[in-house]
Amino acid sequence: MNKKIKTMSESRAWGYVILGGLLEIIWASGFKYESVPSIVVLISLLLSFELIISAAKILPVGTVYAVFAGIGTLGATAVEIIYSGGSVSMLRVAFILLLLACIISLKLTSRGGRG
Amino acid sequence: MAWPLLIAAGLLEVIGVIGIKRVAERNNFTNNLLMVISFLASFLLLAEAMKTIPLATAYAVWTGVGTVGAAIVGMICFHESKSWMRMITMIGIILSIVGLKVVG
Repeated sequence: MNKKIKTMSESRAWGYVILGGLLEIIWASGFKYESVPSIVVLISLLLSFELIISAAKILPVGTVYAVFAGIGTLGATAVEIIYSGGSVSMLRVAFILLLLACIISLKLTSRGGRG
Repeated sequence: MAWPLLIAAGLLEVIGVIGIKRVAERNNFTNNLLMVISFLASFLLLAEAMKTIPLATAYAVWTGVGTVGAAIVGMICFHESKSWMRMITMIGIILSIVGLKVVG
């Protein structure tokens, strides 16, 4: 079943998605907090894009975006909780998690007729 | 004023994604310009909105608006599934965004 094609492997592509998601957390945090240098924000922004576009050429696009959105959103929430010393309203976190669940569900069903 | 900027940032992200699709089909100057300008504007507005809106809220709403927008475009232009489940999740995203706006 595994036909050899001249592209990177799926596991490598998943690595790209995870790395892209982590970079997403860095640039988003950099938009908010000035302690992240501008050059780091810019590089992580461009690199995260590049990684996601590369990964989406190999893996199912909906799944890639769902994982990506999950890492970015949970990461941003974690960063904010750490930065604020834990003074984040639980109600707000609950809404963010509900929002994320809907985002993931919608992304995963983006292919017509399947799932 | 931050919330309208944040919503606009999410919508511009959708236009940017349409730009990516168009560049993939035809890699010309106009499509590249559409893609770059849309994303650039999206990020600038997101950064501006984040000056007053908390990080996690801003990021989640930005992604949420982008997701709903992309789903609507997909349903209209690319024959993506229009199931009840997808309609409910879209409403869920919108309600969550409203909830986040209310709790501040």
